[in-house]
Amino acid sequence: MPNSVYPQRLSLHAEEDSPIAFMGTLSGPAGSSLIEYPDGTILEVDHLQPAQLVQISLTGSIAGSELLLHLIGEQRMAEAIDWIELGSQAPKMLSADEFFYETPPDDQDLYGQKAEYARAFGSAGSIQRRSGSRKGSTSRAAAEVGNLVRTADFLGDTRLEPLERLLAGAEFLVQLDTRTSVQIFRPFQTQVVSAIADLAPQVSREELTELSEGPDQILESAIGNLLSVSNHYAELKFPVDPLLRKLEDLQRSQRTALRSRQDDSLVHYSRIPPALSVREPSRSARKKAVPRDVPEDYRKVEQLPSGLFRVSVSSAFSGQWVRALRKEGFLLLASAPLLPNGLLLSADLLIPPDLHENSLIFEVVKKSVLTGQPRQLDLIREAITAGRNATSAARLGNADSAAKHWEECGDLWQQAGDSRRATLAFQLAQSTFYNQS
Amino acid sequence: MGEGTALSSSGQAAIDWLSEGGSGNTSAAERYALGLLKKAGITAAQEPAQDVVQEVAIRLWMYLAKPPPKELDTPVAYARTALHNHISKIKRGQTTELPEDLEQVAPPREKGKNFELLVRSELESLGREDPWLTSAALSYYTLLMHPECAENLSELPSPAAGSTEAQARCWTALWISGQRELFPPRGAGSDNALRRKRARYITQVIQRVEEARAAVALSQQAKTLQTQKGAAHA
Repeated sequence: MPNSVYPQRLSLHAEEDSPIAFMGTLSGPAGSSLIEYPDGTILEVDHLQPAQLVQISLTGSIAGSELLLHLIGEQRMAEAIDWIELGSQAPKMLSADEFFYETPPDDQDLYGQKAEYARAFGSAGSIQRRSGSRKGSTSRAAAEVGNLVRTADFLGDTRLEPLERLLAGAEFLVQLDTRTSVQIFRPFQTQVVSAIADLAPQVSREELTELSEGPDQILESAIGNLLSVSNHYAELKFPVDPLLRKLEDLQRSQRTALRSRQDDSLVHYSRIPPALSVREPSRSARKKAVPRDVPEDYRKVEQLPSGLFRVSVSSAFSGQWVRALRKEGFLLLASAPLLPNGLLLSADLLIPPDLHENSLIFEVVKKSVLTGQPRQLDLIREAITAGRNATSAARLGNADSAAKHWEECGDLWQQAGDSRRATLAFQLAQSTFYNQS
Repeated sequence: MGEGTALSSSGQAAIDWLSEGGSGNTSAAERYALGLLKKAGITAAQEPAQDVVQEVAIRLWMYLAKPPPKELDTPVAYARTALHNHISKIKRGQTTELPEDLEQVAPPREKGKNFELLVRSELESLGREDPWLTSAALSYYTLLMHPECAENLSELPSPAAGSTEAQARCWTALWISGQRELFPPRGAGSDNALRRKRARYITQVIQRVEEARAAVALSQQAKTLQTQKGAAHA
């Protein structure tokens, strides 16, 4: 057994005025997940492959960091202290801790996921082994710690829905109670319970019912986690009846799965409500017609009693926008999309009242004209967000959605000038696509 | 918002450290951000480093300009930590959120028509994504600067009694920007999911306007300081 969570070789960076950092591998196309320990130590893992350490960083003295000791072990901690005392600004490669190679646990083994998950998500493992920049070895402890960090990251991500964050919080607490290697994170328990208590009132009974009516068994463990924390922590209140019903249904369906398999496809198709059946639109409906009584170049600008300026044009300009510029200096004052208004398309614009109509220019423009050139920083943020969405879709077993997000992620990394992450994302898109077909 | 609110001298020192450089010189803050981005494997990091420093300067200035004045023990270390935290957010695809109580901020005491035009120009240059946000932000800013515009807009959807003025402005602005799916049909209520989605859009609009106002105020302040320094040298 290794003495530390991350027994592999790590490089130490201790430049003046910068946090001390123990670097592992570079993060992948989905960026990182981070957790800050109460003593200020920040643990950063790869979001896609959380078993991979990206870096551990801390400001101040490393000697007192309990988390660092747990993560890198006593021997390398001493090595690092010696190096920092020397005051060198150069990076130092720390020795590898004594360890035996362990095959990294796969997701199915680690998270109890079903075979269809593994098929959709298993590709990530092969990418990791192929890529020269990501050849770090992982231990089961690293996988468990990394998964906990990623779960904490979900809980703190305000872009996610309260229900998603609630599920992440429940998963965090269950992992804390069931995995010995993550006990170092026990100080977070109170904080996580409190976060769940804050989130619970934001999740309605309808959302929980919807969750319990999920299409397959993917949500089984999530529901189990919610029930478990609801039993364990008296202060957490959310309606559990729909979840209990779902659990009973799942158990029943598992018993009858074999018997019903032959009929399954028939049942599946018969469930599609007639209203959702797709009909090819007729030829005339597909053609976007300009009404005969409105000339294609029709254009009217009027000021409504409300004070809004309304620009109306023919439906030939569908999908376009109107912008109002101040004649002097062509300053953009307002913009609005053209929306259907009877036989016409109209855009309503709010113009500062101290400007006279004569000092304004109204232009009908394509949407792309109003979209500026994205900065590299924005592309990086969007690429990471797309990667995170892909990872989440893959975890949920939605291979089609995962492939689309990886494709988007690859495009964005390419635009941002990062070919390494772009290639990884495209490989993931491709392997996800082949795995589902 | 605090245009004109005096920063503490230590707060000003942190902002100055972040705002140094320009005209081709790489500042210490940019070098620091560059180092952090390179460690994160962002290979072509020069341009993002400048943007990161600018984003942090604006957010920090907004925080420090809010009363009461805040004293910082070690201004440069504080600014470095702000950069570090901001980059940590970027690694997760996030932006640093602005102070939560923006909606409680008093109406602006801006410096005349010129300031208003500069903010509009800034809103246009910040608009690099789907144009709905710029559209809504411009309408929001018009309503903020010319509250009389709202008097005749009662036909448009408006929030329930008890909502803040900022929320009411955002409803109008979002409607004009074409985000009609954020509003329930007349007479119907919003479910939880719709309310949350609308709240997220409202936050984005308010943040965008505050960001533009802060950027203009910060740049004006920097110019004033340069002029004062120039005069002192003369």
